[in-house]
Amino acid sequence: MSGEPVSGERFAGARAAAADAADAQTPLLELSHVSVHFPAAAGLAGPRGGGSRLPSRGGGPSRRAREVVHALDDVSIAIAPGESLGIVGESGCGKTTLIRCAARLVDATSGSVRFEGADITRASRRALRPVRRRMQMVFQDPEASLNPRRRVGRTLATPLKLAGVPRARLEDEIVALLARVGLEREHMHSYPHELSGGQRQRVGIARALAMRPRLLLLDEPVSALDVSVRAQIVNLLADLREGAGPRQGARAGAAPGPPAEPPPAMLFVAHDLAIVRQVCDRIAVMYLGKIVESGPAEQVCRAPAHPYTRALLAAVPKADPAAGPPRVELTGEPPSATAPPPGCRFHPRCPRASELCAREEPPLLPRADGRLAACHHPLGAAV
Amino acid sequence: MGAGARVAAGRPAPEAGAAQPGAGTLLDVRDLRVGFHGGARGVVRAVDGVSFSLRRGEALAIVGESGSGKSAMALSLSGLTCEAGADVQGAVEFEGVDLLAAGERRLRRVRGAGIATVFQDPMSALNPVQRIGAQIAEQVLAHEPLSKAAAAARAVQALRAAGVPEPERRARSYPHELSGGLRQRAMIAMALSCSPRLLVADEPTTALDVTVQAQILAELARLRAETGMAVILVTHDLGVVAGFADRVLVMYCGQIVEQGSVSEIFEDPQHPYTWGLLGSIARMEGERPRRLPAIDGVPPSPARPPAGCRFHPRCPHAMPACKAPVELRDRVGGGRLDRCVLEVERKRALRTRSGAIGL
Amino acid sequence: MRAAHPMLTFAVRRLVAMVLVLFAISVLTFLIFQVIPDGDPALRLAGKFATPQEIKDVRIQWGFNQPIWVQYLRMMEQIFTGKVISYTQQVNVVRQIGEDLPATISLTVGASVLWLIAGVALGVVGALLARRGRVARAADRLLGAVAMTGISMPAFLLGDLLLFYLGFKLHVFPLGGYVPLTEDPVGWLTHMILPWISVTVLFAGFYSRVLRASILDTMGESYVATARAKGISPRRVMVSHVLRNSLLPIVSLWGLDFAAVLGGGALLTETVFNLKGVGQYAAESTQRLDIPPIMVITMLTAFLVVVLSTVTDLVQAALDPRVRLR
Repeated sequence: MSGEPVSGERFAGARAAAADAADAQTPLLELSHVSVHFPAAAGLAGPRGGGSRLPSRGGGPSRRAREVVHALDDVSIAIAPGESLGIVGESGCGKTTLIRCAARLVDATSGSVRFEGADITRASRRALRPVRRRMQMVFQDPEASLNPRRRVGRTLATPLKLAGVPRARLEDEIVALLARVGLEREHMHSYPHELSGGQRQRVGIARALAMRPRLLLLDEPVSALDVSVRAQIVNLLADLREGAGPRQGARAGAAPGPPAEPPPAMLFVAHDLAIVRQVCDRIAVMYLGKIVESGPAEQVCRAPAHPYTRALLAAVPKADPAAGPPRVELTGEPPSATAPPPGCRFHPRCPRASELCAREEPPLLPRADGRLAACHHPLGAAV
Repeated sequence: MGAGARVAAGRPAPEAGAAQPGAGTLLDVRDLRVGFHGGARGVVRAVDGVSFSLRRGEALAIVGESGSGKSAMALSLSGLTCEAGADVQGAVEFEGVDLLAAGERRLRRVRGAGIATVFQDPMSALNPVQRIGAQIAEQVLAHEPLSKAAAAARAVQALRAAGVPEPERRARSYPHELSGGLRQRAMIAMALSCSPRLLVADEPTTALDVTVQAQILAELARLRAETGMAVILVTHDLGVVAGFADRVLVMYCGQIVEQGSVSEIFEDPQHPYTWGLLGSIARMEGERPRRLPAIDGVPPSPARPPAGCRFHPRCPHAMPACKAPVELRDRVGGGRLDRCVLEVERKRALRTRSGAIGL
Repeated sequence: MRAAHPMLTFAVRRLVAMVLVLFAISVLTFLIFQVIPDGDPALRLAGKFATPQEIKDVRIQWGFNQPIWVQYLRMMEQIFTGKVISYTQQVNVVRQIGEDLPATISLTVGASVLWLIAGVALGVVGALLARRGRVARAADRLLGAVAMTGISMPAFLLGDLLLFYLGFKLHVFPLGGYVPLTEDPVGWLTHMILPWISVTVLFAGFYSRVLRASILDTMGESYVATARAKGISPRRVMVSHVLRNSLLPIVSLWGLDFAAVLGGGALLTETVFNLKGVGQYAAESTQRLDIPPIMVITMLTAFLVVVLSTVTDLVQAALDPRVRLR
């Protein structure tokens, strides 16, 4: 659409990677100019939850609408080994499609997906199998993603066996894995329903780690959890990122876990900017299928360049009674992705929008400080 | 349960907690106990001796984790847990009438008109096969002698008041045709359609995006200011409380562990559990800490609450005295209550973690 | 014109589905009778004491020596032109089914209404009891046991018991047989009551359990809590919020069972009461390994199932705005 190359992101990724590790010449995961379009269907906004014990044939997509949902439009991201990239945006901004596209659960309409340098955009199911072991997903709802009839130990044994752990060492490995996510040996014998939400999510993470992945794809892993449990999981992710196990005793000195393999890179998707900032090195902000801003986490949060980023920041509740209620900078909800507004997609909700914004789509361009923003009237360096 | 009877320390709470009991009091809860039949484990006491009162127009936040009993407590106020098979004891006096002793008819008149309730998940809290407008009108018709047309008009009006764009069209929509944010606005419209004196909002923003959460909270604050109704906001997130509530009640394992004004809770929290909740919030302001100073472990089962201070097994500052029952009482002065035996000065020293409050 | 009207696409979709289903079911049935032992129709047509030469003649005369697909096509042609003849009785099958249909329709319509009413009533009572005190829960369990007995009661046993006690011993009802409604309405009714009861017992138990579970699920939904929180009467909560939603799965169940019984699915009941309906015809033809009636009845059932499932889908869509027709 814009026709503007959005390659700066790749360089930014490469630069961060170079700073991190010497062996990181090529990004671990690289999506370039990826678009995902699919026919508008009830599968997205249709029946889900809400007491639907309906026969499944009732709820499928309607073929009436031939409109196309622009779930992702010309999106490029790159993640260096060991790096963590956060994707933030409201429901329907395409962040989940992005993560599913990276895992090849959704096929890109155009553009390419590369993992460890190899193009997997059109890779066959068979060819993907080894790739998927090195890139593991953690889902939002641990309850739905764990087999309710399997004890935790068995849930973890399956991927461990696939990863080539001999039967004799299986139990030790399971215990080590549980310890790494802050669970005890006896949790091996528990069924998912006997665990709390936070513990289930720990199991979900352990299962992903069992394959010794180089990349963790985390799709809203904490948004279904209580704030106190959310903090525990966020801390766990921070520990994983630093290659340490969790603290063993409560506060008996941070005893690092066994020297594990190099920490996996993370692609972390969430709607809460504060959580993403706590977990990630870099942040990409998405709006209606496009990246509107990306850069180092602190920079993006301290001095947002895009008005949408600032609005997201304003929505995060301040834990300070003197600050009053959060400013509502964003009224309404994002328009439909079937018919994105012309020009800048954010302009109908943007306080800074001009006539130019309605006409011309701003390209995602590098700024002086190195990060990328797609805005005709970016915010100044200081806010 | 013998322990439950002994820890009736909540009793003096209303006198100490409410600034001026009497004329301004809307709701007075005394020693509320809610038990659920938990199969083989006998009765699970989800709420164990909670007392507090609420002034007209006041905004009270009830904060706690899943299983703290906060929702069971809030829903018991209008008898909603009784029908789910709960055993509710104590007294809930609303405008001078004890609702727990009141008959079904009386209770029905209060529900919707006196105390309105907004539930957590707007996806499942609206009947999927009825139009939004009809669901609101049904409540209006239950409380006011209006014609169907007049009730339908009231529904549209309520939607407009709750900030729903194109209210006439939305009244004819089914819930699944609306986004999460609009559905929650519709729930709020329904709750406010009969001008209640008290709105109980049970985790109204938990299922929503941060941006929509901000909108819904702002909307609730505006509506409260316009109508003068009192609000009880039930949440697990102390962060959303700061800009909204006047007073905060922190619950843990079926009991109140701390109660105070919102600034007292945020600036001078007395109970280590409250510190942990504050430390759990990922903040935008300030330096990013390497780890959040949060709470370790998992909440105890209300079926088998720990003896003494129920938080002591997870508390890094626990000491032998914590194993004995701890009263909820004023330890700082100024009418605030807490359930921690540490000395006030010691608490102030212990709770600061790299410049912020945390556990 | 970008896209067709949704109702039209729906209708076309279902028509195509019907053709496919009829084709698949007819091929399958046809093939089954080609491979089962003792299925050779020529032996049956030629009679018990036929010479090998006579059998050979029959084979050539009826075309059994031709390739299977030719035989299949000819069978289909005969079925759709209404000229298909039974191998064992040499009567026109379609005409025979036409004569049998009134009895089966009488059975289906009466019984399906009865089992729906009984099933819903028992289901609601069970669900209400299950949420009350200890005595009520015991009563609910008793209802459950009764329902299970009904579900697992073999049709021939129940029918025979009814016939023996109410017909043979007490002379309250006639001993089976069918009297057309147009000839003798009272006789029709007295002859139909026992078969209706027999089928109703089979289905009502199952329906009551499905509905009971559905109601209990729905009562746990948070929109029911919302309805209570509005201050409307418990009866209104039950009727307009709980029942309306709980009945949705019953609708499609009922449509499919109706189609099955109408297509001769209650063959045991029909046989026990000697109703001379489609089901009884199917049972007899199966015993005789008489392919043409079996083919026609199987295809009739398949046709009815597709039609009724289409109808129930339309009803579902009318009752539940989330359902989209496709």
